[in-house]
Amino acid sequence: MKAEYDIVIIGSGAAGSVLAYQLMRNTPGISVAVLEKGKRVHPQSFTHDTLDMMARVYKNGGLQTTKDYDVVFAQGQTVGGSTVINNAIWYRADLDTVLPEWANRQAHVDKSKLLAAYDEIEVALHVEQITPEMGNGGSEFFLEGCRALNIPAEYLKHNRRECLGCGWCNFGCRYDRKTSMLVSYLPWAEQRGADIIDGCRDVRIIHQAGEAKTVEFTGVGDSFSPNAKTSLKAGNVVVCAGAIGSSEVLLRSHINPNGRVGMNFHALGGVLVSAEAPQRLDGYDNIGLTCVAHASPEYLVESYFTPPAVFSLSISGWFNEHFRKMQRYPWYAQAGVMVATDPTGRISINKRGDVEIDLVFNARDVSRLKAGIKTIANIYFAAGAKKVIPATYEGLDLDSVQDLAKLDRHIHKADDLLLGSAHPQGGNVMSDNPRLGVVDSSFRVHGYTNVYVADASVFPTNIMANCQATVMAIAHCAAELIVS
Amino acid sequence: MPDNTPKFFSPNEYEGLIAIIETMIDTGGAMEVNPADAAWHVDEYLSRVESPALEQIRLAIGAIDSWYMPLLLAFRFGRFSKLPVADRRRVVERIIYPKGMFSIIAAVRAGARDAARTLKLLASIGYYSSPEGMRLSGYVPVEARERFIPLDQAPLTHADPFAEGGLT
Repeated sequence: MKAEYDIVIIGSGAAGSVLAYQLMRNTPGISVAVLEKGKRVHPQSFTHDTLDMMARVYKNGGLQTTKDYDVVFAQGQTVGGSTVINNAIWYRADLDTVLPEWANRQAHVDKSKLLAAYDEIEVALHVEQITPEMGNGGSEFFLEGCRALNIPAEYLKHNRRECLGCGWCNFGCRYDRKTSMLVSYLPWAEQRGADIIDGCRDVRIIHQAGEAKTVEFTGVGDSFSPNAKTSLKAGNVVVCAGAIGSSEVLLRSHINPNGRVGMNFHALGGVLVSAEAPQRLDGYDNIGLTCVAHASPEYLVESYFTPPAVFSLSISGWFNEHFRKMQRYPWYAQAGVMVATDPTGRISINKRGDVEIDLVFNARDVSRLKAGIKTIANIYFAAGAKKVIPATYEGLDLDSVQDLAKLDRHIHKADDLLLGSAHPQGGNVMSDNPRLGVVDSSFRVHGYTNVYVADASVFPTNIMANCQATVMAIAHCAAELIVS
Repeated sequence: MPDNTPKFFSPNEYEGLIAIIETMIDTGGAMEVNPADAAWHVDEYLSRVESPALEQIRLAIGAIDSWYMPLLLAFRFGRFSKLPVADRRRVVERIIYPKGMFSIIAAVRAGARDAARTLKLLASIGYYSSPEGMRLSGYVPVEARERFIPLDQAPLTHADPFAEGGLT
């Protein structure tokens, strides 16, 4: 670790890693440090123990929720960020829809550069389509239903190479088959001279008259004295701590132009729906998230599966009813419906100093989620499911398509569903108008000469796709703008 | 494994957690995963986590003794963990499905819902993350899957594709 860097990047996830690598690759002589709040965990130490891994590599140990506890946000907090615990799905945003929406909000991203970035990263990360052989047993069951209903559906693309199919992607890949940032862009950036510094707590940007001077943090680990502050002189600072985290860093650093930081937070999130098949599917074996069904532009439907502990949380019912359902675990398939919430949420720091996530799935969101649940139920019944179970509070089992009306009778508000999101966005949205956004179209924070944000927090509106591909592509583009 | 000294919960809370797991995971017979083992896993996990949600977890456990029991069992004071299983179940059922006065006060009802969710979360992750709980649900560990045995499980390395001699 040096005392001074040309660029200090805060956050080592999808954005920070690609940015660090691009800077090192294209700017001879540049010095770059990447600060990460979480620890660097060696992949061979990853276990197939849900709670152990949640404590080690998830932000808040997986217990990151909205302030009303209604929505859980799954994000990684380790070197490599959420790419270590995600499903490695590579889903390009529909730029013909997204970029005009952003332009309407005075956020201008060059489409050709974004497309070129997608192309290049896809090569680097071995992105390819998931094959039927790699999919878990529920994948074909899902597609069978889609085919019966003439709903267009397909296997997704992913960034894995020679995947063994253990099914534990959400808890880190111990076989290094998922090309997460931990085993790709970060070591590549290090080979080119970047410093990755883990265990950086309480990171703050120290600034004066609109210019960042240093980045301060308290280091945790053998390389640091306990509770001692470390200060790095920084030519430029790029915040890449993700939606939620980046707003937190700016707010704790008292960087809040026009009071916009943390505003316009939104998410792609929703609810899981489980279906009991007539035959054993062993969904835990092979890749969990595999397919997408293009049923409606209003919501996104993807097939999914997960190890027992997390699965048990998505299965509604209580006491013995819940236990009996869990005894049928290998017979289940799962899919999720996700909607893009309006950008009306907010990230703030409360009086106790904790981050507060204020996001409500409104009546329109709930209505779209219900429509999506019905679609998934129809898909699974068409495939021959004996029972379909949306993740609801009260427990609502659907035995046939005739039961779909129950959804309208029993689900009225967000609290009636068990909601989650792995795709938070916004909070530091991009707009050339300082009254509308935090960063301009060159990713620079309004009113600051050398502070930037480049991650999902700058998305002015929802990209309606799994985020990592677009986050990486945005960071790729940002590198060029920041250097220039 | 368990030495019965909780790291996250107080001794009373920990006893309450064991009773909650025993109540929520209703196997219809003998518990196949020892609730104390499941509770130990949960306590160990939570002791390693930093989250504002931890307060909600403590509140949910504490509220059973101090709020819900007296409110739901006709001013019965004492410890949830000391109740017979059937009475414990009555308490939890009434938290899940509030009725009467308890359901009229919206804030209490919302709080009860959060508490019920928290109890289910703790019981389920404790039980179904344990190797025995996973096995009993029909999950087959990776090492025991036949198709896995012949596979080369050595970690792959991923070279920088744009390094000298790479793709450029």
